[in-house]
Amino acid sequence: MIPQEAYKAIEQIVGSKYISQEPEVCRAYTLKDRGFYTSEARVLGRDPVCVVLPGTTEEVQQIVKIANRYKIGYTPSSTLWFPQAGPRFDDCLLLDLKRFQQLDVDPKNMNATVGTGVIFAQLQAEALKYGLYTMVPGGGSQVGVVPNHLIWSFSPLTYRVGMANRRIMGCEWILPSGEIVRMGSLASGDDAFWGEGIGSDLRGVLRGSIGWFGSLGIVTKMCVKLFPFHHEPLPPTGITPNTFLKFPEHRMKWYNFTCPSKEALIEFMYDLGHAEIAAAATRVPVAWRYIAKAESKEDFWERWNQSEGKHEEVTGSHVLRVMLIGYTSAKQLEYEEKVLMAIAESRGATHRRTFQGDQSWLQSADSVSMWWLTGAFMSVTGQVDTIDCGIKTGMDFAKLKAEFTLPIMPDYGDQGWFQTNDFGHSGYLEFLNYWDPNDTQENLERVDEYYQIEGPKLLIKSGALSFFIQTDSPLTLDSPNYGPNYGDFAQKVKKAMDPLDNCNPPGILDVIDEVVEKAPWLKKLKDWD
Amino acid sequence: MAKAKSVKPKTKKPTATKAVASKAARAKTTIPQLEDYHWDALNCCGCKGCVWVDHVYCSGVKYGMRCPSLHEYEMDTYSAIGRNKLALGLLDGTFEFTDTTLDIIYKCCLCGACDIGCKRNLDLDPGMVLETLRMRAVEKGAGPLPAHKRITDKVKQSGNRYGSPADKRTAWLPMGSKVAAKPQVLYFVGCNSSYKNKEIAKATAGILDAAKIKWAPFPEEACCGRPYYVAGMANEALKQAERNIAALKKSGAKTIVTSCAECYKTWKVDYPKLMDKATEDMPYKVIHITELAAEKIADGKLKPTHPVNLKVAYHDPCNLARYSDDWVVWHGTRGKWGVTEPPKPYRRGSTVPYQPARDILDAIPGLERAEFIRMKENTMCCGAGGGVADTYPEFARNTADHRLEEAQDVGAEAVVSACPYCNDNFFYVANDRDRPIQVYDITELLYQSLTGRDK
Repeated sequence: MIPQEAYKAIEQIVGSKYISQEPEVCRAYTLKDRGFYTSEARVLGRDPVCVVLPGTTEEVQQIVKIANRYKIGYTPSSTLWFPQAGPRFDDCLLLDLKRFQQLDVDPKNMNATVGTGVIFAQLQAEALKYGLYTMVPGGGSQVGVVPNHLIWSFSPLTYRVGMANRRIMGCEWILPSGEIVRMGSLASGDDAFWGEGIGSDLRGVLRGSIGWFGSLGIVTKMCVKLFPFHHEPLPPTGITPNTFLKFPEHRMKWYNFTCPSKEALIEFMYDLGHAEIAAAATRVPVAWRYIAKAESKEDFWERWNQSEGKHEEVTGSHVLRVMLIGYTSAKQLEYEEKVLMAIAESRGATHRRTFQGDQSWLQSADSVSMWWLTGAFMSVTGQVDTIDCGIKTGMDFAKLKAEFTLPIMPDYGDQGWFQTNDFGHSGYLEFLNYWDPNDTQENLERVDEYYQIEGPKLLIKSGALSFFIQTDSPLTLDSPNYGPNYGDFAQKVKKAMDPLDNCNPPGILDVIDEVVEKAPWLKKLKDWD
Repeated sequence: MAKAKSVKPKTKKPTATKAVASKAARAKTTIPQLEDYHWDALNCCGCKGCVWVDHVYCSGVKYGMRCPSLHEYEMDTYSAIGRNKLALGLLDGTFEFTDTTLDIIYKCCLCGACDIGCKRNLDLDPGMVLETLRMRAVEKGAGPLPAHKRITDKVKQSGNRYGSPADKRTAWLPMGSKVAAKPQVLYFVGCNSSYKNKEIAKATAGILDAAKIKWAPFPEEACCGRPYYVAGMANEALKQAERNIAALKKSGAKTIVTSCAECYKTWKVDYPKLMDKATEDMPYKVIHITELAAEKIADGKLKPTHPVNLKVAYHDPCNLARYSDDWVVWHGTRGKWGVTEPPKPYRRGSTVPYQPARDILDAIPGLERAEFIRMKENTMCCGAGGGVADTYPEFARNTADHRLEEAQDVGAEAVVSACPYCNDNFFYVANDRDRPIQVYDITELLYQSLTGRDK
């Protein structure tokens, strides 16, 4: 329960429609039984004791001040699609920010000002109307634009448009103290055309690599970059679930290439960047291709289980998927296609037929299908580095996963989803895992061991910089690997900005230690101080 | 489906298999049980595919959502996510049926938006969670709500939801109408068009006549039982189904035509569901007048020749559109990874009559058709479904108003539906809130074009 005086004060601010402390109402926001992030949700997840839906920045500001006065811990949430942004502590006041529905595209300056309740499918749809676009992240089309600009946020389109947290132009940020900070050019006016503002650029504090999941305050509005696209229509076609945006093939196309080896595939990716062509380039897990073809979960499993020589099929699959867009003209596509084919030839890659429409990545990204296979999904690492380094981590994780298969779903040595970003300036690896959330306790404990202990240990040992490393491994252990102890820095920042520790505690810090302490099956495996 | 060859789970007994109705419960009734959908509620990962328009069809913020309940009430509680979690709490005894839980359960149009959205990626059955929640509420003596009771009492007493005299049910039939002694099809008019929007019944009869179909009104027609079904009064709905099917059997006819989307879905989907049978195993076939008319137009047997100079947007009624796939029976088990054995057939809203109404409108000279932004499987309920118009009229009106605004935004002068309940709700709101938009049932426009006459 939150103090009744606080409840009444918040109710005065938002109105009775937008607040509830009834357990049946609050249950909708629980982290439990959501099939993700196993022990974090199972051990730390709980129902909030109160849910509030503010509608304006000023309302959020007042709620934060009341929370501070009554020492109420609160968690802000946009779409509640990540356990760090859900209720994980007792007496949690959950701020559901879905009423922040502002979406204003500025076509001249190629940006959009977006409220925290807006999702990527909505932003992309609005942007395309103006001949502009952004990317939809791996988290899916249904995730919030604002929170997913506070982290790296990847999709194959990141190859061209870069990492999300570098596309922030300005934002409205309510600090844990209740002060409102307007960053970028919003600091001096209403036009969020430019990311740099008066004084220090605070974006670095706000976003970091994985962001703070609302533990350094609440962003209610953000201006994000958009990029030039073409003006040809992309007609939505088909009936759910077989829907796609039809490509104008003289302006955009997908290409699939079978490469003779992993090394050739990687070199192919580098070549694309050097040639400054393409909109996307990615290698996806083989299971995803089966997902795309399957008519149902049962159909997937029939296909996935039936193939003999699956290990060879998976480890020998070197399919590079490339998207070209004639942004300025059909001639641009013609030119890039010629370059692409020349690169393919030089790398010994064979061009394969592929479907010419957007089923995924431009406007629709079906991250949810990751849950479809088994009912539960998690990534153990999301790594930005060189492609070569990412590949090495993927290979290491494939070996580790084999030790935990089953209960982890068998994917026969697949080494993850990898791609290049920023025209080849960096590579990205994400290593995905699926398991049955209705498995026996014994098997679920093995999943936890893999995810919470052995995975982070592997990252620490290899020095791989994972975007989960701040949340899913003890910073005090792994951050010294990077030089100064960033865990200490992060804790100091959090303490300085949120001395009451009200704002989504414990933030991004050392969640794993809390989970391990509270889960006996993990605590017995703890071999660090 | 072939059994898994390469995966041999170490686990002996997946815990999920316990989450089905007990054999004892199953032996007593053919009616679906909440326990049958425990797995579906449990495995909701909260992605909100249940509330958004299919992302491929997303047009932006204003019309990005298709769940009327979440649109109106905004808390996740009023989405399939919240109701799934509530169902789990009711099943494990954490929660009881209270005013709050009933409010959450019944503030829902049962429009199927969540069900189709969920089956894009997860193959869960949230629609059945919602329906069996209502049935459980009634079983426990907590439901239905008083407003439901007022309607269902009238159905019980008079055979129709308005409490009108049963012998006036065919009063809409024009004097001197020629009904066939040995009809090919029986016209199941439904309560609404029998007593309230009689012009729909008259237009439908006119279309059947124009198509030279031997038809007759359904003998001793009474309510299809939908008010019972949406209230969660499954036993009463089943009795009504048995009564109506017996009347049909007695008539000797095998085909029913409806002009009401709610009657259509009740006959096609809910009767077999309540009897634990597949639609294809029922001793009759039900078609909507739009299906029949579109076929006759394609065959050249119906010729809409009189111009109707109007720009219209066709509103897909939920129960004619995404939520009317044939019912299929599945009593299998779930194994590792939640895989069903035998494979569960999924109702994805992909084999339903989206096109006939569009073909009819396109065949009418002078008529220009605009598409709603949310159309076909992404349609937004008019707000009247699931008993909401009776129990939460403000919710129903707000939803209709939102939908009419969408029609105006796509430049329509009129909104056209194929369900008298959509028609009612739209008509009321257009007048009440001064929206300058006309409201028609599709039968009215087709009849007008066929004959040059208004009904």
